[in-house]
Amino acid sequence: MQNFTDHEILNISARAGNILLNSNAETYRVEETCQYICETKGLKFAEAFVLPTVIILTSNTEGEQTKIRKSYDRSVNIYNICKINDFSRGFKNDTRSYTEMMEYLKAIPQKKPYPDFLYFVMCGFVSGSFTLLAGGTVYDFILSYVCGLLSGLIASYVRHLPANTFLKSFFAGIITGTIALTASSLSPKIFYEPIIVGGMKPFFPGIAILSALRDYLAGEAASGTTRLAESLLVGGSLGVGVALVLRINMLLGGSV
Amino acid sequence: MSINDTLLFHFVVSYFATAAFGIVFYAPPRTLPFSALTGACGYSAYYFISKNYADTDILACVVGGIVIAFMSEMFSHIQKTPVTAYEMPAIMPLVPGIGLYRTMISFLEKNSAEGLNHLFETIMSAGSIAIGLILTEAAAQIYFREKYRKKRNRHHDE
Repeated sequence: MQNFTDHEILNISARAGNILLNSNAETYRVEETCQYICETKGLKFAEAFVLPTVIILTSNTEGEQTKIRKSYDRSVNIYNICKINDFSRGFKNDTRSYTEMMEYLKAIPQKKPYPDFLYFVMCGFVSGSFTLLAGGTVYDFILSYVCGLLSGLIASYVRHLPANTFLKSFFAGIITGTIALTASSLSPKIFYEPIIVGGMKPFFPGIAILSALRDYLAGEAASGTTRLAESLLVGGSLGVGVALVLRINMLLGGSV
Repeated sequence: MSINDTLLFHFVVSYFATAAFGIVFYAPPRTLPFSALTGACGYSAYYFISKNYADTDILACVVGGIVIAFMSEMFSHIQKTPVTAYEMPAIMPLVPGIGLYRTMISFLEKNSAEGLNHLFETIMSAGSIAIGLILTEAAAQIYFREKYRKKRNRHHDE
C-alpha cells in the first residue's frame, strides 16, 4: 500500500470536494466526502467546513495544514457527483499513486456523458412537455420547443460570462415571453399561458430550492440560507424577463 | 374528456420530461430510466389526488414528495449512486411553475390581493413537497445513516 503525506491527502480531498461543489452538490455531501477521504488514509481528525462558494479543509495533526479551494462556476452535473461518489467509495482500496489520482480527478470535469447538441434539444423537449402538462396543444408544444431550444443556445453561449446564472434565466424569460405573445397575437387558437409556463421550466431554480432545504435538514443553516437567497434571485430574474415583455406588450396596446 | 386529462397521458409525458431533465443535468445514462420512472410516479400521484379530490393541493404535494423520496432512496440503494441523482430530475415536474407565473401576472396587473393569494398557494405547495421529502429522508436516515451520525460528533469528545 502506498503512503501519502498529510499534504497529499488534503490535496486529493480538496480537489474531489471542489468538483462536487462545482456540480452543485449539497453542502453536507461535500463535507462528508472530504472528511471520509481524509479518514480512510489515516488523517483521523481532519475537519471540513464548506459553504456554497468555498471549501476550508484542515488536518488537526501536528504541523497543522489548511487548504482553501474557491468555487466560481457552479452548474448542476449529476455525472460528476456520481463519479466522485464512486471514487470516494473505492478510495480505501485504491492502489494508484498520488499523481495518477490527481490526473484522474482533473479529467473528471472534462468528460461529458452526452454530446453538446443534446443539451439544447433536451431543453426544448423539457419546455414542450411541460407545456403539454399545463394544458397546451400540439401547436403550443412546437412553439414552446423553439423557446426552450433558443434559451438553451443562449445559456450555453453566456456560460463563461460572470453572473451567468442570472443572465441566462433573464434571457430565457425574454425569449419565452416574446415568442409566446407574438404567436398568440397572430393566431386566436394559441394561448400564451402554457407556453410561458413550459418555456420557463428548464431555467427554473427548483434544484437550488431543493438543495437549500436538504442543507437545512442536515443542519447547515448558513449554506441553506445562501442557496435560498440565490434561488430567489434566479427566479426573480426569470420573472423580470417575462414581465418586461408583457409590460412592453401592454404599452403597445396588447392585452394580458 | 380529451386525451390531455387522462392519467396515462400525464404519466407518459412526465416520464419523458423527467428523462429530458436528466440529460440537461448530465445524469449518467444508467440512472436515467429510473429517475424518469421516479418523476413520473411522483407527478402522477400528485395529479391523481389533486384532480379527483377538491382543495387537496397540499396533500397531493406531500404525497408526491413522499413517493419521489421513497423511490429515490430505493433506487440509490440498488444502484449504489447518490440519492440526488434520482431526486434532482424527479422533483422538477412537481415544482409549482404555474403558481409563480400567476403570482407575477397578478402583480403586473396591479392586482395585489390576487397576487398574494397565488403567492401563498405557491409557497405552501413548495413547502409541502419539501415536507414530503424530509419525512421520507428522516425515516431513511434512522435506518441507514445512524452509523454516520455517531461518527460525526466524535471530535467534540476529545
